[in-house]
Amino acid sequence: MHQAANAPVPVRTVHSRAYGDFQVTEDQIYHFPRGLVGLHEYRDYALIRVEEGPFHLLHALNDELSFILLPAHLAADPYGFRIDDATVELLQIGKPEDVAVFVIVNAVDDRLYVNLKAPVLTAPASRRGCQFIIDDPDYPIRHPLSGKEGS
Amino acid sequence: MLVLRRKPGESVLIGDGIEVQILGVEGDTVKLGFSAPPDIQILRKELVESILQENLEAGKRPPNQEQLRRLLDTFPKLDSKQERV
Repeated sequence: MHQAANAPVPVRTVHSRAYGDFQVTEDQIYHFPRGLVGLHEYRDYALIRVEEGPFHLLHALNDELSFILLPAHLAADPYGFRIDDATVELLQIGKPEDVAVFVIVNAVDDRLYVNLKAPVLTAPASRRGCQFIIDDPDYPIRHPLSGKEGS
Repeated sequence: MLVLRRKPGESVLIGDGIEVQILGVEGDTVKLGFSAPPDIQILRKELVESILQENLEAGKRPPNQEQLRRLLDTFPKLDSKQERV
């Protein structure tokens, strides 16, 4: 098959036991200058949308470490917080629209939870990301994920 | 580790812009006040550790096929009317 001239070109392959090997394009590769909380040694990730749905896979480029992410507004509404200058600088963003906010999904004993306390922020323009800790006791680390149940 | 004795009202300075003041002592609890530049985030250690634990659980043990399928069923594909991330 011929690719369109402007189609993104795969630039590398991620080897994953959980998801199999897959190819990623330049625009799917994100650098996390500080890694994630407690996981500072992993700084380069692929961010991939899962099957046209809202979920994304954040997979370390050189490790099995991987996370399922959900856009924050689908997990909690309202959900808002201020980010500090250092984070703005780290992400190289100029306005709130420059950043995408995701929460990490965690499966515990067959129940699904999201971490509202420490969302993952990504900036598509700079392709940088970070995990931000929200200083607000109302946001739990383990918030039960409820979808459109019954539908 | 540096150990200093301080009385309520006294402070220590860390580097150029960080001040930690002893506001008071009540029983076994010490009340601290922090002044720091805006790019310094001050957090309780146990909070950071609990986020680390959650990251490890979520990141080292990705959802299995069944859990993934349930996830995808719970949040159906976005239609064009829904806003993108």
